[in-house]
Amino acid sequence: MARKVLVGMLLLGALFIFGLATFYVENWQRYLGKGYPLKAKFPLVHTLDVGDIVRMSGVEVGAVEELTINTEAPPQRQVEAVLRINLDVTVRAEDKAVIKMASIFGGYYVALEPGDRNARTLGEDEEIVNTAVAPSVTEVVEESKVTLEEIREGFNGAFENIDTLTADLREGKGTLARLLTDEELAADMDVIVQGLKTASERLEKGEGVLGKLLMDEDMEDDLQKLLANLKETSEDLAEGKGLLGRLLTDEELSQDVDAIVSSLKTASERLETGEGVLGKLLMDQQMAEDVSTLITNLKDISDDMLSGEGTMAKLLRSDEVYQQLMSALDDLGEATGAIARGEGTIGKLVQDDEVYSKIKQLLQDVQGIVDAYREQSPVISVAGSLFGAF
Amino acid sequence: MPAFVESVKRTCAAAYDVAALTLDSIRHIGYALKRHKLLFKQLYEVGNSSLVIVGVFGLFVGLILVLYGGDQLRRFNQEKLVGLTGLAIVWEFGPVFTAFIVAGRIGSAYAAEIGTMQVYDEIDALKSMGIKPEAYLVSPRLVACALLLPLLVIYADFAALMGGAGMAWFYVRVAPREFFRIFFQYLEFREMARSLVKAVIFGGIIAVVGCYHGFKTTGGAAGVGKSTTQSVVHSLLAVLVADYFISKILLAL
Repeated sequence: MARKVLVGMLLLGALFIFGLATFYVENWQRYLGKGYPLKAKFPLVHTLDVGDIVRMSGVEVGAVEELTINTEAPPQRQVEAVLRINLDVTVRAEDKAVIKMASIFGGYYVALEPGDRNARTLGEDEEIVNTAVAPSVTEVVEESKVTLEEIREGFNGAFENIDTLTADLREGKGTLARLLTDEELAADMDVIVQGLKTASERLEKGEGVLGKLLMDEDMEDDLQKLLANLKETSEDLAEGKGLLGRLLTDEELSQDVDAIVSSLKTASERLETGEGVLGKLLMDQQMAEDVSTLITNLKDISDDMLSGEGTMAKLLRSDEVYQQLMSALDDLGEATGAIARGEGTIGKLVQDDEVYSKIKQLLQDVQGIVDAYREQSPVISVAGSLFGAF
Repeated sequence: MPAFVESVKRTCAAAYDVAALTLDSIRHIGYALKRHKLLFKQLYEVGNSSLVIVGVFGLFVGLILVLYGGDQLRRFNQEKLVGLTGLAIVWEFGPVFTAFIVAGRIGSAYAAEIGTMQVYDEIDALKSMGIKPEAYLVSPRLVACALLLPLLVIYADFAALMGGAGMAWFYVRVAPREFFRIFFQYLEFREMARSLVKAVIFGGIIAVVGCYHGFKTTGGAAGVGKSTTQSVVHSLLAVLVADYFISKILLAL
């Protein structure tokens, strides 16, 4: 009996200890040696607890094994969590551990978010450096309270505006209020509406250019052709065909145009400052007056000529002068004909070689006399002076 | 104080006896498997006698769970999730309530049958014939309960789900298709496995506790009645305590 009691006591004791252990041991995987530990440091863990789940892409891959706080560590890394990850799961150095809310009713889990697939694989007791903590329900609620307050203020402002608007409407201020209250404006609006109705009917019937554009199939064809041509033209332009195309695409031509524009600019500046004849013509007041006077004079002359006054006018307009001039020209023709034929003194002078020879001889003789006189002239002058003194 | 010490001693001795009976029965499972007639008789008794009551019980458990669950979910406008009550059936209600029924019906019958044999010295007669009572009486019952309780649990789950789906349709206005869609969406195989593992252990507990109280019966017909009552009470208690610890261990794994 004593043996039975003893063994029974041991049995009950063992069962008691085993039962007690189930209260305290949260993660049996740890004690069964499944998985490998990884560390992750967080600023806070909310209500994350030992035994909470670790998920990767929503799949359970481990559990939180241990949570320790180090108040000496930097605030952003003061809570160290040891995560026991299943052996068949690979965690890489660039992966991120994020503490997330399991549901709106509470509870947290650690989510492992994949990072660079080429990063090295983390081994036992290594640390997941990239960590983050999702906001808690209370934080979200606080934030939404602020947002709701802003929305409420916005609504208040909007309601005030609406109040002002309705007050204005009641008082008949503004176009909208007038639309609601002003009979005359309403009548005008009726007219406008009637006009629009008529216009829409005309459009429907295909009347007018706009109506034809909408209803006329021929015009539609034309429009399509026009659009096709425009398309073709734009394509040509884009390809740099033609002068306009070259202007758009040819760099050299563009530079030339630039130079021309620059020259024109310089010229216009010179014109504006009154440089050069054209500039003076445009800008010099004195020259403008001179030109005006010149034009007036020319006008007077032309008037005189038209009225037959003066010699030039008579030359242009008088038959008598014309007859006299023709007669004079005839006489001159006869005289020149006689000269050409060698008739008369001038004719002989021109045509007769003998006369030419005699005159040449005469001139040579006269030249000799003049030269002799020139040589004697100083002697005669000195002698005359001497004789005159005495 | 001596009374308390005596009580502790009795409890420790009882723990030893139960442990010894369990080990002896397990050791002689081979004997039970060889004696087909003996085993099939127990299988038939456990299964056949419990089939109707387990079905009705399961059906009403399903009805009640959906009745309350649907009502609560409607508060949050989430009545379409009423299929989740099926998970509660699979996790807990199926195995525990089936074990309760079997404990009340079969465990008590074991205690009464073996208790009567004990009172009329039939156990001693078996011993004198060289037949081990643990092998001849306990092992077939242990195997029968451990094998059939999981099947009864599946049957009870089925009945409860049918009742739940019907209740969801008529009361919560959730079609059976939606009820089962939600149920199977969240049901995991390991949860079903946990439920069946628990059923096997509960079956073993019911058989051993019933047989133990039968063997310990003394004092004639009154003693048989007392043993029967004690077997039911202790079976239910043992099932609930075991349920907690098994669940805790299986969930942690």
